[in-house]
Amino acid sequence: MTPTTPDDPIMASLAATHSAVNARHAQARALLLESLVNEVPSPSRPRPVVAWPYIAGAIGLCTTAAAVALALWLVAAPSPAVAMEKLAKALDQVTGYTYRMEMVYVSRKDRGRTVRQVTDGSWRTTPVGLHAIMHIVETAGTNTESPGAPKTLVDLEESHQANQPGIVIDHLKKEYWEVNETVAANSIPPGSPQVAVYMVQQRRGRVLQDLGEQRIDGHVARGLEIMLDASQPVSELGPTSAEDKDGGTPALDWRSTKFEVWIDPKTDLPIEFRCARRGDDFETTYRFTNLNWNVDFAADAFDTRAPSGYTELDKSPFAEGE
Amino acid sequence: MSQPEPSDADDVRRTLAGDREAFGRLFDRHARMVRAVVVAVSGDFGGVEDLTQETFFRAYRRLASLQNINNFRSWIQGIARLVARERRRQFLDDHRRFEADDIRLVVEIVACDAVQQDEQQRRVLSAVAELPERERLAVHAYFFQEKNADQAAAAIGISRSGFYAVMERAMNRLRKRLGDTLPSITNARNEG
Repeated sequence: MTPTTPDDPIMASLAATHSAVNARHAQARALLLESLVNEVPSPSRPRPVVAWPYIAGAIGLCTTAAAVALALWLVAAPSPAVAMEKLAKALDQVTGYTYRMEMVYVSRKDRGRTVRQVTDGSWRTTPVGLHAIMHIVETAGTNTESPGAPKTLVDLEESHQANQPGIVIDHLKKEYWEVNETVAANSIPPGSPQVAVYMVQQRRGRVLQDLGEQRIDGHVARGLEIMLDASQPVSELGPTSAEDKDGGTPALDWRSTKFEVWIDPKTDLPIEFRCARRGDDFETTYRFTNLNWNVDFAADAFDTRAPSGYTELDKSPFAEGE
Repeated sequence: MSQPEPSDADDVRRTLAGDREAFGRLFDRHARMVRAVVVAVSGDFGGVEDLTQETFFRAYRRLASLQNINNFRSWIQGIARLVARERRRQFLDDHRRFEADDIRLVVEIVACDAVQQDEQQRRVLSAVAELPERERLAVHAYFFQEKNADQAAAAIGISRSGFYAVMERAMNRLRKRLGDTLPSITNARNEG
């Protein structure tokens, strides 16, 4: 240490300051012992040296469990973008499916009315085939306590096969007519979830939000809200006899429509699609359920032959300019 | 023939058996080291006795949890550090109105609280408070141990040579900082 002289002011100052505290040591000691009169050393606690291994073990187990849970969560609940891609990949493998579409259209104009359409359909990708049975029922009034008598508007059956004219059969009027437009994967059949399936396969949709989990038909499903690109093909989904009466467009445009897709995490395939369209005085909700993927269809599943005893029409009675 | 001085372990056992005077002996042996630690860590020279009392009070209440009674010195040093850190946090909270640049002002206020009657001591303590903690600890240990370097070195757990090296650095910093601002004692005496 640097030699210091007795006159070093710093050393002298420090010595004086500390000595002043030490000089009160006896008083401090007495004060301390006095303060301990009513105190007793606490009884012995379990030795930490024994407890620590258990604590460390518990921490290790908890950490491992948390890591496993995180890994499982990542596998079971991937990010929405990852889930969307898994959905697309699963749909890429789809060769065909059956479905049910239930549409409920509620108009609040005048007395109001409700139109309910149920379509049971089959769609085959290769070779392309479509078969759909459509029932549309209208109920006058939107007052659920005193609904009007339901009236069957449509009982149609439609079939298509690749490279052949399609056929639409009106079972109410016992009529049928040919549909010359050939169906393809990107020509969306009416009343089917194919618009969403096709766009997801094309990666032309984006996830808006993760809707979490919901139990549907006994399955735990994970929901994604998706928005299809604006370049989507126009769908004719929906009953022309419903919305065009109120001024809506019969050819439904799904642009800017949000779909809910509920996915079975075991297969990454949809269990249900949902969407809704709303106007100032109407609301239409769609549910695509009963989805069975990669069905082996019977050879005559998409038969386009007309039933006997039915009258053939030159053109569709729903065609424009009728 | 005089009785040998009881060891720390002896006094811990006796304290646990209800002998408070044995705890007084522990206080006599370790209070200087505890004072050095609490001042060095907290920077609060004015609170040195309160912090020392608090350290020994906590040690007494927890004495039964001391695993190795031969390690009383290092054990109570740990308690002293804990108490001093708590005091420092409280101190900083109390002086939150000061910006970081005003730490020196805060240090001076603490020193002023400690020795209001002596301007020279206040300035020296302020300078010590700005030393690195290791050097602060060496300085306070040395002077609380009445300039006994061996005891100071043992109190802070370093070798004698290591202690001297730390002290030399500390004193050089203090001289550099304080420079000619302190009149020598000789001069002061002459002026007096």
